[in-house]
Amino acid sequence: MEINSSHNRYHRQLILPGFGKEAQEKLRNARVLVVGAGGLGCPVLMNLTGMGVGEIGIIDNGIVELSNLHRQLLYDMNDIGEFKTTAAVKKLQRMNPEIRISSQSIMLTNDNALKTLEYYDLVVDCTDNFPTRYMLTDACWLLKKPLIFGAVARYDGQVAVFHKNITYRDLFPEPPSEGEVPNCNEAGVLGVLPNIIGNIMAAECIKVITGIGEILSGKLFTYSALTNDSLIVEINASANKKLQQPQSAGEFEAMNYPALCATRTEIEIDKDQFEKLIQQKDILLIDVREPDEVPQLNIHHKRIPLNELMGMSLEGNKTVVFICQSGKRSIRAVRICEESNPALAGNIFSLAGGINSLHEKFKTN
Amino acid sequence: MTDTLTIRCFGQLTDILGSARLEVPITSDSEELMHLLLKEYPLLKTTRFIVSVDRKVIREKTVLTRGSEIALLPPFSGG
Repeated sequence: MEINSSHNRYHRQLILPGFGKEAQEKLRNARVLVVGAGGLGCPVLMNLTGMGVGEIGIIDNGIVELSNLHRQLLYDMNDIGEFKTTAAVKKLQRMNPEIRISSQSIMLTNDNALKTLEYYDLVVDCTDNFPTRYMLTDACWLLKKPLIFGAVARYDGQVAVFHKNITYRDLFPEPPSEGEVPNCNEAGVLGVLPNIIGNIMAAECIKVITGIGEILSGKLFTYSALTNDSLIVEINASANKKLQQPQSAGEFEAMNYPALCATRTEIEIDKDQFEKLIQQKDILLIDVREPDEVPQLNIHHKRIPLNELMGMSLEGNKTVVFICQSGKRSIRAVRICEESNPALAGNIFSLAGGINSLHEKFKTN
Repeated sequence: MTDTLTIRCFGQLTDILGSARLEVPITSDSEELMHLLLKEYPLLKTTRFIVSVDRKVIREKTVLTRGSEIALLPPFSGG
């Protein structure tokens, strides 16, 4: 009975020349861990489930929110407030009860990663932050597990397959610090984009497991939804990588991944320090948001969007404080400003958490 | 064929360069090209990216010729 139902379920790929029973059996015997059940995780999970990967693990500690639904098509209005893992397992298991799906609502860190990854044949990086991405690429390299990497920003995305000694560190040996590269919350993402990229990741995953076709092994695929421009580039081993990468389980567990991507704390001030600072004389407060962004600040300030700041002289001011919506662009503003105003270095600050963190009395809509 | 190089870029780099494709006067090597780009687009200094020539990531000075395919690729973090 089960054989017949399986045959029926997978019929359209079983009849594919080059795929067939043998590839289907490889999928059934495969164990895949999907880290992150968001924009990329949803399409990856739906495809792996539909196609019949025998055992899928899901890790995510997030909760379904309304702002997820434009792109995370595994979830609906009834799931809001639920753990993504709970909602995902329920839907996926309904889609295909013939496979095993397990989940953990935890944050994957270098304390639990090696133990968690060990069980699986293949890992899919659907995470949304650099500390976890670097941690995962290091863990997979140590354990010699193939890693399917995918990432998106606004209209563009990337996919790569890391195994055979090439890792994400061969592309970018050191992690960017926080604020240097905007994330989806800050920069936005077109709903369909992570679905396109996630589907390509799922295809790479299936090809690694079954051995069909050509995979993006040691290659980076980049795609733009706006122009349909795409590019595959070959990655070669970086000499720098070895200096940065932990070489043993002990070294890996001793790493501090969040700190690698952390902002230099000396340039950030919190809202209490901010309130004290703005009462001083000789302080210049600059809002680097675009002109149409609200709420407005109702304290004395200048408004200079980030892209107009380059090369601007701010000499003659004693202290400069940058502010934006959430405190990310203002960190970039500090870096830009330090470069063109070396004499001011050490006296340029960014408000951590941005306007979002300020008391209502400082804002007007 | 004109004496220009076409550069493709992605992600936040399109904001800095003003477009996803850019034509610049030909330079003899990648270092000279980067020098020219940083002078023309100083905001490039504030962001991270890698350079590929003829579909290979490069880390060292690479000779450029007419028709060299150049791309600037930033890291993305979103998922």
